[in-house]
Amino acid sequence: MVFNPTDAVTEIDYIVDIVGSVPGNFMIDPNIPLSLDTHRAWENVINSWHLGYYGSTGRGISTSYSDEILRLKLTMSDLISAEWKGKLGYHYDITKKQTGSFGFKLEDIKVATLKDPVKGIKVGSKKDFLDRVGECRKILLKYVNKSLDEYLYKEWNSETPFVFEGAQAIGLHPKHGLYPDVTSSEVRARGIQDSTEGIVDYKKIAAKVGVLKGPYISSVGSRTLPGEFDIRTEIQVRNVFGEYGKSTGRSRGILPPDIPALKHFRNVGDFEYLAVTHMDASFPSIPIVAGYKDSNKNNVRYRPYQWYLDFVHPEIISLPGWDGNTARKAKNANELPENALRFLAFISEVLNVKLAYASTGPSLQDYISWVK
Amino acid sequence: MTEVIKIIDNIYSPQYDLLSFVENKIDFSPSILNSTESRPNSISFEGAGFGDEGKGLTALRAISEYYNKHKKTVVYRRTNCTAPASDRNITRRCNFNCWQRNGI
Repeated sequence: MVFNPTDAVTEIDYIVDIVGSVPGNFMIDPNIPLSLDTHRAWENVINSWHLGYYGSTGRGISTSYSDEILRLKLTMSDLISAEWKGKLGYHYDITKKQTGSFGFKLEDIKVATLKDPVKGIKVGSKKDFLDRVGECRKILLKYVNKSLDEYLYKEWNSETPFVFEGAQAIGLHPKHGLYPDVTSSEVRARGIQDSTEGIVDYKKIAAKVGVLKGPYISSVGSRTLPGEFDIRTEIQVRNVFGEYGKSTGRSRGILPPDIPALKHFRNVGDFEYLAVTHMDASFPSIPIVAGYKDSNKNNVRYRPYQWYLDFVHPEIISLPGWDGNTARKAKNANELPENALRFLAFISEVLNVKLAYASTGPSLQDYISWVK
Repeated sequence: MTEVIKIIDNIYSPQYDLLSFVENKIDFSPSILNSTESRPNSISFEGAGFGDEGKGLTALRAISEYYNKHKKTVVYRRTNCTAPASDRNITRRCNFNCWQRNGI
């Protein structure tokens, strides 16, 4: 995880607007790496050369992670230190040289922000940059907690309920995703153990749940999977379910459930239970990619390489659909349409993972639980 | 492929015991309380697709379930993310912890 101070302040403002204050006990680890407007500018410059990075969101994630590898990482502890202006100023100077080597003037590069993702803001001069970060610093200082590990240790060794939510997904994993549409971090439950310095043993988390969309899958980026919906279904699903990227607004590709890909994610993932979402999507029938064949008509598995997937042929089977409105009204499993239940049973069995939840709508109550 | 078709043939046949599937609930809470293998009252969610699966809302439902059951603070921790993931999960019901070490 990386942390953009400007976006964090925007998020805090959103929350305060909605509930009047920052609820709960919001804490920021001093060790969290910073992802700054400078990282976004550097990423934009690399993107402009089209030498890679196609999969990026323009939020400076990969360039922040590259700073870690280059041992140039800045963390929240740097931002709260007395020497923060010197440290961030040095970082600004390095980025200025990097972007300048590509013929770009750092001051003039526009970067997206959470508040204004389309128009964005200019990075500005070093003074502008430091002033902007400095304003955020004032707001964020009170949330930085140097004793977070003690808090975590105490709570984990009590009966306090813990809910962990990993962002991203196994299909975006840096090793198991389809390049270049991959993220930079460990997306599986095992990342929890790494990031808590071993306090939380991920193997001891009582229920590790994988979440997937049921009647279709969505994908943002340049990857191309073998199976596809007809264009009318794709547009319909995109509009009804708002399938546009949260960060970038890019249209998500809408694809049939791809069983070989989902099996791969199951094989390399850490989940032991399943939550299937979007069961209120209505189709007369549900095409699924049941398997792949190579050019010799041999059954082959999913592998996360575009050169490989370009030459496999999808074996598509249609399963009976169901009425999404009926699914949405269901309060118990036995009220779900029969074909929705059969579909859930199929997904659970084909991936060899027990079903825990199925969601039937966007509200908090719109779900069926298989947990006692 | 053959294995997938076998599963489809079985599940979509009239003989398939759908009632058993409906009633076959997961018993993870009681079994955990009697086990030294797992830490009670803990759950994690990870994306099993290409992202945007609805993890945030699913996690929020788990937070609500825990809160309604225990009537106490829930520690909610999101990992690997940047804004604006999971905004709706910041509620009065949980400690909202935004931390992750070493950029993992």
